[in-house]
Amino acid sequence: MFWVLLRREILGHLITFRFAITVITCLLLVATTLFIRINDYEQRLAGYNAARDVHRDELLATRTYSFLMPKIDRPPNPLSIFNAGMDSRIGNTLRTYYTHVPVLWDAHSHSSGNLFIDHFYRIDLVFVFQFVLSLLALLFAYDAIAGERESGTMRLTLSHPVRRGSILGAKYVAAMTCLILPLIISFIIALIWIISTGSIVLSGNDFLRIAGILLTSIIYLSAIYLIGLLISAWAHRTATALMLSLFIWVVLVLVYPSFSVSMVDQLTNPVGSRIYSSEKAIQQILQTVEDEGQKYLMNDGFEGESEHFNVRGNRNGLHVGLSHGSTAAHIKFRAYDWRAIHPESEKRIPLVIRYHQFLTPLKFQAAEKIGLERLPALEQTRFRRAKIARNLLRLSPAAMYNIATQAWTGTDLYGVEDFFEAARQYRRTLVNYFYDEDAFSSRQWFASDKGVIDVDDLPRFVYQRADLRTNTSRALPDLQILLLLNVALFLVTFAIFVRQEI
Amino acid sequence: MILHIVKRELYDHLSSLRFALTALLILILMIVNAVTSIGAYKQRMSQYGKRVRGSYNRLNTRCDNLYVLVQKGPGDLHKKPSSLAFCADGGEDLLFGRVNGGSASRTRDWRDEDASYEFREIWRLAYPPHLDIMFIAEQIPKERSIMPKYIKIDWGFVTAVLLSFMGILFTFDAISGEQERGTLRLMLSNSISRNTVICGKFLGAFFSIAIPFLIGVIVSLSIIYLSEAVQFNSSHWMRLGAIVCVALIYTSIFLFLGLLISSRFKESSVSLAILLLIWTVWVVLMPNALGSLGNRLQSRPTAKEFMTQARDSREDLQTRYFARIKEPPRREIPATIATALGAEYINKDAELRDRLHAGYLSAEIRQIQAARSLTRISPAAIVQYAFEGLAGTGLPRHLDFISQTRQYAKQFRQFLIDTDRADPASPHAVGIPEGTSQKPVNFDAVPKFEDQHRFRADFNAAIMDILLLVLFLLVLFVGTLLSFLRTEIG
Repeated sequence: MFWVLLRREILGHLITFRFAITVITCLLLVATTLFIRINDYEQRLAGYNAARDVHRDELLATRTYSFLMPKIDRPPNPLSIFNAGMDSRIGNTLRTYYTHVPVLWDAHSHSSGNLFIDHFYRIDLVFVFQFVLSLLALLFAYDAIAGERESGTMRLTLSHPVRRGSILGAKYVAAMTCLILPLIISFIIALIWIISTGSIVLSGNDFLRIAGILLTSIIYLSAIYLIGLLISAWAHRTATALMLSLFIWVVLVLVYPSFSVSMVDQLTNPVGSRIYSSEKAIQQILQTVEDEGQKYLMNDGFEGESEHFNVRGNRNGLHVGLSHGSTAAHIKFRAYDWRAIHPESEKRIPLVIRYHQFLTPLKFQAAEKIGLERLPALEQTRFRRAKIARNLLRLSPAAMYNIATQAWTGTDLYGVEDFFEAARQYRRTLVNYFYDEDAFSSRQWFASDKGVIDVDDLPRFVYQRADLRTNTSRALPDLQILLLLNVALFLVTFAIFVRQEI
Repeated sequence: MILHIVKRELYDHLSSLRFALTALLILILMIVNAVTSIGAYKQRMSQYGKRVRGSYNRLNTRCDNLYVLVQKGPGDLHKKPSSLAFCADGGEDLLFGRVNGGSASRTRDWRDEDASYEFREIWRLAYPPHLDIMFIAEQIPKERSIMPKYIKIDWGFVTAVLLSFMGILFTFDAISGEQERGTLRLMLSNSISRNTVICGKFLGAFFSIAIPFLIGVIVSLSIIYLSEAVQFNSSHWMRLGAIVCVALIYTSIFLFLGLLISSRFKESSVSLAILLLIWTVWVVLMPNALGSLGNRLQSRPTAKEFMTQARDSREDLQTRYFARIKEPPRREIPATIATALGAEYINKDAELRDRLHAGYLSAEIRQIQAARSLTRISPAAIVQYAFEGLAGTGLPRHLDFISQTRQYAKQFRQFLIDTDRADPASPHAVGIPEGTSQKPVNFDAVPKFEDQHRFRADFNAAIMDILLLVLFLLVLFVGTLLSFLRTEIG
């Protein structure tokens, strides 16, 4: 009996006009979206490759250790085609100074993309499914029970020896089959298009991630369908069910996500007193290092307080004294490159070496301290706001779907933060390299007159996106909530339907 | 007769569930928007006041010496927040609210065999406002960059999304529903023209949407008015009136769309499905998809290319002038050739940097404009832009602010030259200390920048959008009338 019901339901859905037109619209939108996003990805990839080559050449041209400040680049995420997330909104080029622990806001953008546009307009596959297919789910659901009750067919069906549970089950399975069909077609089109471009390389894990996105999409659509079914079982008239479910759809998909985030953005302050207090602490650390340096120069027995010890010759130098924005904090970064040193000054070189040998480790340590001060301050202000906003968003299944798929693609805040964590790791590698090479007690720290440094054995920065396991563990909480929502909705619908008099 | 139909329709709608739900939602959103925007506006205004005062104070400290004023410039120029931001937010938080009219004070060394001289940069206008050209890639205030994307809930959102949605819900079964029930046939058997039926249906639905919207508008305005956060003047009322009119025109577009589709299809469930799809695509997806195409249509130099170009052209300028300067500038009256050339160089350099920044900005703006023009296929985007224009927020207003700062920069430069002319002890080669008056300047005489909301500029920005909306309305109106005339009533 279940199969008969199921067949009837599926056929009933498939031959309807609304199904045909929604599927066609959905596929057209998917094609448009793919065109835009793949184009965008290829452009960003080209930008990344160009930037990486330039930065590698820059690194190879480095002459002294103190000039070693490799620029590292964040490759665009190929899965941003499915959910763009923050991939193109966050800076993707970062300079690693040994005197600075980098955070997200230190990065710049090497792309020619327009951040303003990226901020205002968003299109990706998840966005299309979130709107169009959820609408189809509701159109399937609103008259599923109320409609049959109105037309009297429900009574007819129940006169057969069939349990109410299997009626409900058949309806659910049939609708889900008809919803999954366009979803799978869309995914197949997307995969074929992506693979046929040749420029986008997906790894085996990426296919699993895409499967994760597919799974999340199915669970999301099922949740929306069940919301519609619940309303349909509860409402007495089809018209009421339709209005209620459309109203709830607009609120959940469009109004609430914007509403909650805008509330958080307006009601919480991005720069609180927390930032100011950390800024003060950072200033103090900076001052200590400066003082130590001055003290050393005063007590070293050499006349004059110049850090160049009156060495004469041909010098290149770089000063980066960055103190801009409320939480930027550099120790004054200084790089030196004496191309030639006057023979008379040769006897003062040991003094210079000793000075750097003393000061550079202090700078390393101070940078670490500043990092320890700065990261939590940002964590407790800016990151916290973003996280509060995300948590509030979880009240809407549509937003939860978006968050979960971002976790799969790795374009969410955590996924982007991974790059900066890797950058901080890399900075530590760089510092260790300096220690291993005994760089700051060597002449090549500040001078290249006796030969330039060899950076071939400097560990290169390689960025791997988080592994599948991490992605899964990040997506899992939202998936679980969505699943629980599904179960709860189904049970409530069942309870209402079973106790109902037809 | 038409009155009769309107009345019947109106009663029908007002007692329906869809009316109750949507009216409630609109009212809630309007009230919440009013309450939060009062706080936000107060905060923005106090921040603006603080920043402007800070700018003036810094300007005051530079007035001891005309050269210092020439070198450091007027400092940051701030944008005045719009008091009507509750109508259309326009992404104000994502735009830098200041233009920098200062200088990083970097120096350029001129060398000769036995002499050297340091040329110091003077002020220029820069937007994005960072002192250093290195940071030009930062287009958006950083602390906002990790928030999830969202649309501010303002009148623009309520109109673009909710009013159009209501429009569809109130009309999808207007004709197909009556056809299903057979009442349409009954009605047409009386001596009523079909146009009357359509107009009656339209007016009935129109009033039942306009009433909750206007109630929301009045409640929200009275909250803001009573809080005394915003002082409304006649220009504000004109803007608000225009905004409400635009909202109603926009709603009518969707009412006619609903009537059109409803008259084409016999089943109301089919017309609903089609309308919902059109709505989703037209209102939500199309602006996003087309807007994303903006960067493809117009290319723009990357920050890196821009920096290389800027460095090259500045070095080029430097070589040209340094080749002609034979001795270091001296303080002599009249100015020596070297002094005059040096001053000319410094001014040309500032002009060049001005121009580079402006060029970069205009390339970026072209992209945004391209995105906006494309999205104008969707009335939801048009209505947003029209609201922004009328409320004095968003991109047109921002461009007006930037052009105001440019006018001010000219005025400020002229003031410097005039003040220097008035000093007989100056060699009148403004730009380098040797050629410029060193006398203190009267702070009160220095022109101050104050950002003005110019209704005319704002209205001009909006007028095209309003006309486009009217065009959409007319097309759909005629289409609906024709389509209903040709409908066969079975």
